[in-house]
Amino acid sequence: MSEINEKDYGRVRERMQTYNRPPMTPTEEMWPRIRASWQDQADQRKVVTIRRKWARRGLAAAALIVLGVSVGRMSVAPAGGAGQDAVSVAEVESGISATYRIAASRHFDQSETLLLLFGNDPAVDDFVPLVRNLLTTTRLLLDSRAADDPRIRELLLDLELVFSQLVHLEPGNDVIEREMITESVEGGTLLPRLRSLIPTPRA
Amino acid sequence: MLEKQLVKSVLEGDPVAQRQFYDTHVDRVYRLAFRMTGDDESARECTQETFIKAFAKLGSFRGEAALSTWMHTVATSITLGWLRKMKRFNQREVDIEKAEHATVAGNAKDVLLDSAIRGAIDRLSEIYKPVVVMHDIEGYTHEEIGRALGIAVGTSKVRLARARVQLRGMLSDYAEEFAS
Repeated sequence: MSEINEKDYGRVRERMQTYNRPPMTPTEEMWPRIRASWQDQADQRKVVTIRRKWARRGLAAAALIVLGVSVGRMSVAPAGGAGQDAVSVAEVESGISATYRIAASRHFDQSETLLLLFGNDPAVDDFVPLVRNLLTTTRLLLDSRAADDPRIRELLLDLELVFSQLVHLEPGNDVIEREMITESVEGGTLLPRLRSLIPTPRA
Repeated sequence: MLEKQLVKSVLEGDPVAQRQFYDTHVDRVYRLAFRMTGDDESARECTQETFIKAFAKLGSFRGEAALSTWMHTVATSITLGWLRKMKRFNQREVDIEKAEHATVAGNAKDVLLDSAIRGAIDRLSEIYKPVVVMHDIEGYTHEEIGRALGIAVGTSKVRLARARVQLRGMLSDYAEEFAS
């Protein structure tokens, strides 16, 4: 029995072209599934980006609130502190108010965005974690000195109601539930009131 | 369009760029998948999975290698994974009927030789078969094979040399047919 030498391997290689010889590439037949999958992936990326953005904003708001609470605690005058400097206390008070105002403004800004998104009929599953964060921040602000302002307090109470409804909205929610929430938003003129408390960005 | 720009446009959802990306690579991906799997349905599945996976990972493409090389890496990984999953890599029997069908225009000697070659390639181990298919059949370079399989260029060359020795041994019964 003879061997195939290296020189003759070229002929083997030529014949190897018959091994699983591919037909014409079915380019058009394969494309729709690929395109649909790419679209799904792109949509999911958008949701993830929104979630991350909101998570960052939520953390920033929470940090501001914590800062405000800490400053507030430090500013409480010790018993019998008769010698405390009145000007210094006023400055601290002013700082605390500014901190709470910033925290509240950011919260209102995020709340407005979410309510607008809800109005555009988002998938409830995607937004529940965001709403839950906003609900927590709303309650933190209600328990803080930000709520000393009656306008802010009233708005926070309305937001708490709407966010509570949104958190309990089931996937595939029925029209009535959504209408109730829309009514809470529109009936309470929530969006205009939110906007009135969001500072206009400086150019 | 530069490759990096094309990738950016694809990821941003530009439909023209997406189609351009697909058209540029689909033929080679499908051909390799078909050569490795041996049937249209499996090749389509592997090709589609390759493009779906590629899109998911495209953000990590840094342009250090050519986009085509990067695509071969994804395609090879998907196809070999598919073959392992289907447990067909080394277990398929030589299907003479299929070989006869594939070479319906050829004579009996051609059918016999094609069948022998098919059997020999199918008997190669998982280490050697991809290198033979990619290099000797589809014309990939050792650089491309090295990147696609995650091995050094030298390793690819060694594997090809050893695979050829095995093939020559397995086809020795037909030495006269291949003699020049």
